Amino acid sequence: MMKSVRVVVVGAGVIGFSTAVCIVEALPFCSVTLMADKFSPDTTSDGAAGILFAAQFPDIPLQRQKHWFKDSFDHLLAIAQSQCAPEAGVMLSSGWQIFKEVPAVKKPFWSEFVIGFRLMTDVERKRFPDHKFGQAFTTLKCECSTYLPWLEKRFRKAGGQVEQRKVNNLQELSNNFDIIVNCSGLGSKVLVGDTQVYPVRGQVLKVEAPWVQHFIRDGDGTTYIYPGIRSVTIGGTRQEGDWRLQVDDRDTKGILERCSRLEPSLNKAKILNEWVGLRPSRKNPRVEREVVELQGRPVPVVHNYGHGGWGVTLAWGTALDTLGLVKQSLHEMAPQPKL
Amino acid sequence: MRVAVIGAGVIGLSTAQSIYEHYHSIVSPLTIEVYADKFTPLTTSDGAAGFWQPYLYDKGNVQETKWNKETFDYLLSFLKSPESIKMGIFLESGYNLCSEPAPDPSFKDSVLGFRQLTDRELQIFPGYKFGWFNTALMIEGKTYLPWLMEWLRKRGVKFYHRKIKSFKELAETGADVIINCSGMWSGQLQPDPDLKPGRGQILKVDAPWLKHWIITHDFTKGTYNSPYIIPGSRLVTLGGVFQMGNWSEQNSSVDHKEIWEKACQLEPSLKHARIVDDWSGLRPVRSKVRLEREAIWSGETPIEVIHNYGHGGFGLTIHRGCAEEAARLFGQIVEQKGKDEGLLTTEVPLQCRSPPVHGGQGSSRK
Repeated sequence: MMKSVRVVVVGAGVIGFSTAVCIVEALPFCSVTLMADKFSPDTTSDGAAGILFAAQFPDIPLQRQKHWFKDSFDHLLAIAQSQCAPEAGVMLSSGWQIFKEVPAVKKPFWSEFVIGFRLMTDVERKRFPDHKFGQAFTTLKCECSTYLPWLEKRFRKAGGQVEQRKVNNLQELSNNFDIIVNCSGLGSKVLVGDTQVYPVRGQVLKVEAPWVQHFIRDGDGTTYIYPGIRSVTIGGTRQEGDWRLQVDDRDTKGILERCSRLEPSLNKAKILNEWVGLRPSRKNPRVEREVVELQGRPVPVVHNYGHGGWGVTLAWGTALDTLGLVKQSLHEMAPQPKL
Repeated sequence: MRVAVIGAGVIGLSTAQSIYEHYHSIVSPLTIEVYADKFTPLTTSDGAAGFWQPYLYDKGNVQETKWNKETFDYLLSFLKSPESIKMGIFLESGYNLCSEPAPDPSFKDSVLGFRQLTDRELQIFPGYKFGWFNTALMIEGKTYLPWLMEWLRKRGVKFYHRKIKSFKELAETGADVIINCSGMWSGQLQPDPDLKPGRGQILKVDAPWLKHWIITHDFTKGTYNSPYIIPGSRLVTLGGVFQMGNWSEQNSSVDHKEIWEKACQLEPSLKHARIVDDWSGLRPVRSKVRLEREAIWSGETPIEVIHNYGHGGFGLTIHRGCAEEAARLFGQIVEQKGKDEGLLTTEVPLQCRSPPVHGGQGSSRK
């Protein structure tokens, strides 16, 4: 009997689970284990608003970035239109991105992949007197505190195993696994010694404002209002190199002021809770494979980390890419000896 | 001067508001009273989803399109203030879906960001080949009506829980002007064969992941006889029933089933939504809104009546425009009475004056 290839996915955030699901559903002859020290609701993904929105990375070919965005968007759109939508925590969200100064790029690369992208009319802009330019479109919101448990169900249903364990180094894993898939986010700094990974601290408030039906985002990325299924996420901050996980009252005050300026009705909103997360940032996400010598043998390691504040947005697309890299690794591996 | 308003739905209350706003400093004393057998949350306005959208086409009633736009602009102006939440007003975007191409609707220049649907959006709604996307307003009756009542109460308007059986009844108690905002039941005060019930039934469900309204149009079945889904601030309204001539205010299990099944077809995620409530109401349908003065003779003196009823399924949508027009008509009465009785404290504003009949202008001062 052929011993099945043992794959371990490290990390239980949106990247880890998306990648694990892609692999287990596509490769039935692999046994897939997901291993992590933190699970929902304690991952970085859980606090994120989860609005699909992209930045452009400097060193990744644009075509690949377009695939990442489009694949993720189409995957979640299909869920949003299905009966599973509320169980998966996925919904459509329309709104506006506004800029205080007219940006150099009026139609970003992802504008063709969201729905109904257009520039705001003069009347629409009148509502934001501090802002000179704006875009209107419909995108998706994916709430990880609901989505991750839903993905976990899907993962287990396809035969995946879940193990709660902190992985300190790759050597530990090489005894029991043939391929390592690293989705450890900020943890990669230590796990694989990547000095290019750094935190970008973000603080958000969740408020009760069920009358807010549209997202509003300032193009600078630090002020945003994202209505969700049961609460509205307002934020935020972008503090590079800041490792603090505690709530900062000055940030709270700043967020409330900036968001109320954009949406005055928020003055009446009840604050439900506050949260801080560290975006696992990197100049470019690392989605690539390598072979690492572990305990005397070459072990394929596929990396999928460093998505910064774009994890939810790029999860499925990079997971599919990662699956492709896992397949390549499988092709290159020597056939398994028969027992 | 004593003004008696019949009806405490959105039309009655907003008309009282407009009259107060324009005339409380001109006519002294100005007593406004509202008489109704139903108050919020039991009026027709309360049961409605609270979505600002006129019927697709005004069939030549350009005046109504003007009043709709006036209402939209008026409500939109409140969004800058946190007060908008107390009024039940907020923006919401969504989809109008048709099975075949159709001309642009009457409200395309009133709403925000009006555009055609892209192919991608139509793929989300199989069976529909054409449609529009825009941002409009919600105005939830169960919040707006209490806000209006509080506004009026603070300014001395009195409310009487009483069913008025005739205009004469009110005139005999001393009312100088009667504003008839009795909606569906105007026929009981004065027969109107043009006024007919357009029965509607809705479900309210808990589906907070839905943030867009979806209104479908079937030109073979007529307005609102096609499924619609309208998320509110707390619950989502599902509907699509418009039965002309049906006076029943009881919920029908047949209609319930049809509404639910069609809504789930349109929006599959509803399968998991919890149904919280059912409601039926009668839209006061008329070929056009009756907004006019009438002097009803009873004995020697005429009873001044201003009719403001027959707003069908667009009462909330049109209310402010009509209220302002009713106030303008009231101004004509005030000017006339002012001339007769020297009641005015200041000049009646120019836009409220009736056109000169005998060549004389202005009003007499006490």
